[in-house]
Amino acid sequence: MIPPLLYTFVGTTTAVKYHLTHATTPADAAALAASDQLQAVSEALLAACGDDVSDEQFKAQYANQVVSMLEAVETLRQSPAAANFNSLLDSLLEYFYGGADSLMGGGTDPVIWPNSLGGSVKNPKGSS
Amino acid sequence: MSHLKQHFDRIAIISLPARADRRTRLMAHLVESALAGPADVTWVEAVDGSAADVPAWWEAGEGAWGCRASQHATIAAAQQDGIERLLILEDDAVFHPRAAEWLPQIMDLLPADWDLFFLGGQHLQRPWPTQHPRLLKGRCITRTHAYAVQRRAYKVLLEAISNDAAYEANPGWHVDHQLGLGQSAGLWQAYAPAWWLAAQDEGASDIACQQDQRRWWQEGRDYWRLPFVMEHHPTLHREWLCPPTTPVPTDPLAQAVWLRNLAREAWQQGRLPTCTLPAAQINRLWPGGVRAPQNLQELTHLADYPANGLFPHPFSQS
Repeated sequence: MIPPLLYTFVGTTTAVKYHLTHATTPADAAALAASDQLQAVSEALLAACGDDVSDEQFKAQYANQVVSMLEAVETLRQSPAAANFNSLLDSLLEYFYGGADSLMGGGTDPVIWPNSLGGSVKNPKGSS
Repeated sequence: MSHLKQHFDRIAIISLPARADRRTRLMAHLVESALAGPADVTWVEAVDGSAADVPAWWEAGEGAWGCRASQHATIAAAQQDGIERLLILEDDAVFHPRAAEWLPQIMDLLPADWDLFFLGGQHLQRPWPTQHPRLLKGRCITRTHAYAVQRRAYKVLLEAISNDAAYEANPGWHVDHQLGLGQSAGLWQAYAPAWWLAAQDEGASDIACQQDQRRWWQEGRDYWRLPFVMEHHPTLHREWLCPPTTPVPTDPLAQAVWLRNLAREAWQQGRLPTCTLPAAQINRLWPGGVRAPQNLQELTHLADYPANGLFPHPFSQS
């Protein structure tokens, strides 16, 4: 079972790379390396999505990428240009952990908050 | 003069007759926070939905019916009495420790066109920025535990709250959905601080009829920056900490999700997450890392986000 948020995560790593290469000085080698590390995480997870991979194997592969992903995000947070894509980094975390949550059988929406009825906000117009 | 009375002509607090416990707690809290004294507030007897003649078409529950009727009566009384600026609190409101410090600053930022000002609430649509990063313009703010109304908005607000057809068309609709809808439709201009000054306290909800935790609904996703607190010191105060309510999972991936859920819950409660997982494991799985404050002062400072600069924010003071 491949969590849809995995693909969103992969797309967001590409967006981070784009912002980094267009908004930072070329000399920010550490941030560029961290971005490459994020893309390596994406590729490792996509490679583990094969039909011959069991759910348990995929979960293990996903768990193996947590540390690498967090290291890369932390390095990017330290980048002088981080203010340009801090929100994207939050989104990366949302999608990665949301994907993990989905794999573990939990919810897939990373930003659901309870509303005044005690349920969940299902659309931004306030319907409950 | 207390801080709230400097800005609002009436502080109306809605409370069910049976909830003397809440009135006692809130009054003590207001005094301790230097926000208001007993002579500053006007107690409003809440309409008890369970004793009311609720029409069959109302599907949001008796508590919500009572909430709607109470809000309407409070605003109508202010209109009748010619109150210029009305602050409405519900008896489960709890204020931020820096509310007395920040409220005057935010009130100074309010533009002349404000109709509603939410001290606490929940953004159901992303708010618009204003010229000052500490002030937001609401697109759809809900909740009714702490908001202010200007006199000129009473009439249109009362019409919206009492519009039966709107509730009938939206089964389950509460009074605060009407408040939010009015913002989306441009019926009134609503503003809010970029960091809520009032939350709903934990306890039994008289409206939703369930046990609730403290809820802040702060805008943003900075719970990713919250560190986990390792409880090494015996004086650490539970007021600032949010412990887990479920056991630690054994699977590392499940642990990562569990830590996220715990941090989000702590964020909602305005506290810091804490758990017994080894620090090294938390550091492996959680971007906010681990802190080990050695005394209450250090913990209090750590919990004083966003003022302490734990993450970039308009209310950061570092």
